[in-house]
Amino acid sequence: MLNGAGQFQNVVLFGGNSDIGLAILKKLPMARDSTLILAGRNLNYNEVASKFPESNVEIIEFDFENIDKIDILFSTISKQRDIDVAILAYGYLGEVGTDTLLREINQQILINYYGPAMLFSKLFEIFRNQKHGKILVITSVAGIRPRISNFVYGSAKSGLDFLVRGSQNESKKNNFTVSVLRPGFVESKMTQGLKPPAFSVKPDRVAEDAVKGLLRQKKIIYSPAILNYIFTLLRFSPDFIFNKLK
Amino acid sequence: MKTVWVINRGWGNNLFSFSKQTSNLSNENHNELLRRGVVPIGNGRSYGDSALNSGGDLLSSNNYNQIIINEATNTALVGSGVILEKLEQELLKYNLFLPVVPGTAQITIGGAIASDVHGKSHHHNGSFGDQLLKIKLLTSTCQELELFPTGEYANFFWATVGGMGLTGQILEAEIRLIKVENELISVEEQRFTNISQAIDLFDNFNKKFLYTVAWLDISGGSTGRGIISGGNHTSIVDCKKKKSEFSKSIKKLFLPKTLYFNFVSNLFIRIFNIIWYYKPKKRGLVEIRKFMHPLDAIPNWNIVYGRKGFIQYQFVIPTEQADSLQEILLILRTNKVFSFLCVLKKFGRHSKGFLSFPIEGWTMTIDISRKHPNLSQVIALLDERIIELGGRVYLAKDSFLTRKDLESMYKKLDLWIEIKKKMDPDTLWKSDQGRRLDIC
Repeated sequence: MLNGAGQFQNVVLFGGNSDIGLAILKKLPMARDSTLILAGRNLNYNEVASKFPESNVEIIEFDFENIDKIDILFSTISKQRDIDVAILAYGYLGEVGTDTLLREINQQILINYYGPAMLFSKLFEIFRNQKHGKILVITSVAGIRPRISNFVYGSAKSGLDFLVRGSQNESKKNNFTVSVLRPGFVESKMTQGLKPPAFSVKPDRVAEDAVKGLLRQKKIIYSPAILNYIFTLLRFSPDFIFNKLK
Repeated sequence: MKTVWVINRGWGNNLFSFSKQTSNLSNENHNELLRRGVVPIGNGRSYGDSALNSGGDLLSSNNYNQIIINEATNTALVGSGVILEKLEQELLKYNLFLPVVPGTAQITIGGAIASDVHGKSHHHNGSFGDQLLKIKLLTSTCQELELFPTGEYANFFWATVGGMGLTGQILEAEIRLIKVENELISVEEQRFTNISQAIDLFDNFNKKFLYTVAWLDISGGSTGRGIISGGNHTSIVDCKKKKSEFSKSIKKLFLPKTLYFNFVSNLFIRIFNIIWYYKPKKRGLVEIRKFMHPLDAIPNWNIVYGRKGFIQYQFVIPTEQADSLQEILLILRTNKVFSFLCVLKKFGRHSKGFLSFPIEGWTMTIDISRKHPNLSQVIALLDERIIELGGRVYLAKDSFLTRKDLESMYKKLDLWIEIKKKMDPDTLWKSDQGRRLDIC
């Protein structure tokens, strides 16, 4: 529950290894004795707890490729406590290029769309029941228009983005907010080895934009914010121009 | 029938819940109510989230509005939905009054019991719970229980008094009254320049007057000066000079809703506090309701803090820690906390409710705008110091405490939880505050 200063008491991060997710946790206004629950693979409790000395950290070991075991995940996230903020921050970038289509499509759809969609639907019901809180789903600007280099990834993110955006009307009626965070290229573990293009950002910057947007109850958050204008233009640009942006 | 969900706010406008109102608890709706629980509500004067229940139900007491006065025994049987202001008006017709009334008369009797309110007479009369002869309570299994301060269900009684509505819905109460000869209070005021003078004055005033309270200036360099007020009921003889105002209702000023922005700036507070400190001291007869409830003259005064609202922080520290009041004022001053509404009072005995607030000692109440840039840090500092001094924070005003703070401040918390489990095995009675404190 929120306290009188609007600080959060109980926050859950799905994707405990996500650089962006962890950065967001650091920027969120947290109450005293708050609880952070991180779900992910191979999480080291001591390492995570040392990053958040002022909160009570709980780790749930969970492989998001086994999304069918989602009920176990939610039974572990104690039903006694309300969730103030839930962040869906896990994903799979995979390989790039058209020749990866068949190899990659299963993984991309499973990890970047199906799994998060199932998770989101569970969270939606929880928040609809508790009638307060915020859900933040990290999608991507790659989902706005297909690009040659990452259209499979983009298609999955686009589907997830569409699902979350479609639910925003219903969430508003039930007094909780659902936001999508569309970062551009983020210099993180996921993009290690890739050459950062223009407008690339670091996880801290994304976290700042995300928290600012969350607190203002924005439906769509871009990071950096300028990508909103850039992609509005790109959305309508002709193919011969857009396709040059691999 | 369509369910209507509404936004409900605490009086401080700092927390709100999306809930639905329910007017009765029955076996038919019991299972549905268990989903997110129910909290009994009064007139919405709790400052924080004690009368909020996100996603759940608020159980109104409006139907319990009877007042039966027994002049022979000086008692009244009062429904929990009765507003204190109405009860006072009725009692004064019989030259009766409540021995304990809080600073506002806009609360219900149920709310007064659930928060175990206290008033200017605490050093003599204790808290509201001490005036109760009996409570009728609706339990989670739809039973109506009669609870008394002694006997078989005494633990249930004292868990309910100050229990913030989390043990059941109070339906009615039998309350002890005092005889008064008229509706006037003889008042005396004195200024003081620092907290040490205030402490000395309280010792004298508490001996001389039934009702005592002090207003403190909290504005930068002037922090710590103030005005102490003392009052006693008057005899018929004293009243000859002043015509009875009994038949007139108290004039009220409603602030326009368009004023819903925060004009309580530090400059405004400084100016207000200077004017208030130097206003002519009262000495004479004042209508009892004006003396007891001065802010009720502006019923919607809480909107002066604008949309962001404010918090009211009230703590008590043991008598022997009086010297630490200066330190607390220093914390406020160092952190640039300005307030035009800060009240100091010396409590008498400990209250018996397991979660009741008053202990023998010094209590201070401060209104702080939520626009203060370091609000949570200031509150954390104060909470930490209050705990070190053996004090506590009032749950009816609280919106920051954690379970760990509560355990440190309220030593009977475990006992209360044990009794709550007996009274409410399915955990039907829940509130947002209860969730935040992890006690329901």
